[in-house]
Amino acid sequence: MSDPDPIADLIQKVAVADRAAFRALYSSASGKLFAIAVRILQDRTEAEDAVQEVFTRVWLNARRFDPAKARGMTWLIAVARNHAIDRLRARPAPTDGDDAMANLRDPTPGAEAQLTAKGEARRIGDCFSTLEPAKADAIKGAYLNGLSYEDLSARHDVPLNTMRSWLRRGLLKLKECLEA
Amino acid sequence: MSDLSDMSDREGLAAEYVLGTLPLVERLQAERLIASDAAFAALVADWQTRLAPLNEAYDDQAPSPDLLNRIEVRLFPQPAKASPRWRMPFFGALAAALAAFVLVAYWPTSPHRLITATLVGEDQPLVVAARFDPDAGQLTFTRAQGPGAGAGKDYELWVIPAGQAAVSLGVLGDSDLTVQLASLPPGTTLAVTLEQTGGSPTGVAQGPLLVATVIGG
Repeated sequence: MSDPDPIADLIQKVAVADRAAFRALYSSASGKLFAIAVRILQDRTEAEDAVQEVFTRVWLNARRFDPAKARGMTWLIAVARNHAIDRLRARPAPTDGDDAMANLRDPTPGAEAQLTAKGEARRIGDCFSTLEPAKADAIKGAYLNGLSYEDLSARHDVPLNTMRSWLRRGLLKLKECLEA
Repeated sequence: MSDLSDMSDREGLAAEYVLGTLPLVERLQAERLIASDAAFAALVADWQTRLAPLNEAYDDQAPSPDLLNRIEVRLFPQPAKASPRWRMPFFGALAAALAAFVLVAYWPTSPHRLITATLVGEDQPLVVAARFDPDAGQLTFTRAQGPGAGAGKDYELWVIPAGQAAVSLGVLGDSDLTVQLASLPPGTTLAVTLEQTGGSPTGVAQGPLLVATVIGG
């Protein structure tokens, strides 16, 4: 946590209503946050609405950011993912036979391969490789694409509660590996 | 040996919230817990950190070039040049923020009964209670929950009659603040922003909006 964290510095300036810092933060983070919203919502217009809301929340809630507890970018991404997923979950359920949405949210081929790129990512990549491949894919697909338990249980053709306990076990194993 | 019982329900809920797999109702329950339960919020933060390396798989994609401008217009409306300072619109920021806020206000229908309202904000520890006595013409604010404003800061209270500009009512310290007010009609917004000590020197809110409520009717 003692590494320089320019994003965290900007968030702390935003917390005291520094508008120049807000612009700098937008310039540093909007590309990533927009990509996240597009990936989860699969709709550019709605993703822009989401990013607008995310930066509004950042302006209003920056005081709640604690640099001792999280990297600045991790915090911003959490705000963005949480908002995008809330929007996604608030959509009406797809009608029968409408699998288009789930298909659209298939992971981008190759994206997860980048996880082996460096440092922390390599570590979590190693831990994912200790899980059954299907379980690892389900966790990564859920995290990156905003898949719900319903999406996952349909995709893997297992009852929803089975999927839930299966995924929880996967998460626990991941936690044990990361903390080993 | 991994077993479902090894992961407590709370830890499981925190992990699932971060993963994003829960239906909306359970997500909202988790969000309420995050706001009210520091230990649960810490579990969520731990999972965010744990899964953060996955964020590297997200690419970068530029939004429309005018998006920053749209955000700034919403958060920081430009003052109308011909208006006196106190008329500078505080509305844009307020309207924007209200969309993200949980509003709690309840009020009796009779005009000569006490009006009570609670000013709250999403993910915001501060809660301010407002109480209007129409017979005495007195509006009283109490900091019901949450920390003080902190060194060099003050909570500033604003009343915003429907369709009009925000007017400062003063700053709220540890003790109650009572102001004289002839009426508090439906549609009036009460809001608290975080300002420098003594309140905004310009008479226009400069700091972030923390909590608000709209008087119903």
